[in-house]
Amino acid sequence: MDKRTDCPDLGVAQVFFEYGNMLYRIAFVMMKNAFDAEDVVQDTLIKYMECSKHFETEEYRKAWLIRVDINLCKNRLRFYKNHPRISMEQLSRYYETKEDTRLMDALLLLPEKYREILMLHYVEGYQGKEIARMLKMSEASVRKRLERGRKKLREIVGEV
Amino acid sequence: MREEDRLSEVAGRIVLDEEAKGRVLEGIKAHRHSRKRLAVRVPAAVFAACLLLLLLWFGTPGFTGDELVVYAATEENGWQKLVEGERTLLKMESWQKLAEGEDIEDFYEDGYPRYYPYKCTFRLEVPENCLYDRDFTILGDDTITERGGRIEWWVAPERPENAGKVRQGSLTLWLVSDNIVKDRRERIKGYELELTKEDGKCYAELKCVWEKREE
Repeated sequence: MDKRTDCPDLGVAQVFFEYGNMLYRIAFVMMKNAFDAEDVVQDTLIKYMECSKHFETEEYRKAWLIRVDINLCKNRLRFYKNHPRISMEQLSRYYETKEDTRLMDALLLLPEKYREILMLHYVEGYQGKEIARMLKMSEASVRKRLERGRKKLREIVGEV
Repeated sequence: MREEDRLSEVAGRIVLDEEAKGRVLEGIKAHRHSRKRLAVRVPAAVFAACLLLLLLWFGTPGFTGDELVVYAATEENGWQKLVEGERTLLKMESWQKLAEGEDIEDFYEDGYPRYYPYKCTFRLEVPENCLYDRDFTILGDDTITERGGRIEWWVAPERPENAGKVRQGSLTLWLVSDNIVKDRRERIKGYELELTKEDGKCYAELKCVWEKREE
């Protein structure tokens, strides 16, 4: 039986304009540089273009894109283990005050596992249960990582 | 205001500028991870030899021209074409070495190693008008990388708790049509390259797991 609902099949250009910035933001924080982030967004959308998935709701589409985006970042991170940290010049494109730069710098200094969870919760507004489903982990682990990530973030901001 | 509560506002300012948007869109339209397309420039003699080989190949019964061919570097036979359903022993090429005074533990970061003493290599051949795509899974601490038709399996040192265990992982390779229909490229075939570590040796087996049905 056809399970299709009202969620239309969006073309890749529409998806890019709708979610491009969100995917880029997540990839930027994960990859710590603009060039890789751009590549990851591009690869995520190419994957979208190639997969013939029909999404029942817009939320499913969004969650799928985030999951692919994060997975592509992780693949790259494992490949570029020695990739240099982000330069302040790249960050300064977005921040004018020292406080903001310090906060972003602290976020980027966090281990990957905390970065992704803090981004999804505080920036993209997902709840623990949704993050757990998206990253295929238990809700308890998400909560623990969120708690530790917050603690570490505060510690680093204090140090930077 | 606590730091984490400011994250949304601060991180929210990270956006693609117009130039970057243009680059990404252009890349998508051109399917720019066409670095995966095996479009290498080759000298005329090599080209002629390849052409001859192709002609010979076309003469072989059973060749359909829509197969993804995977070659593996082996100790015994050099580059060996993987035959579906047949497990092949791979060459473990010695790769990274510890410098004097370095300890394996120095290479662990966030619980993952950054030291790979061996690597196994694969080469892909894609039919005309096709591209390939891949989904990687992770095999323990190992890393799998892909660049321009070459796949490398970086083999990390075995953790003591895994000694003697047979470990298996697989990566999925998709043969994709070069034609864009309704903004999308069609998948033609899906393969699984099964990677196995057993008694300190590495093996690979190719399986065709999905095929597009003609409507």
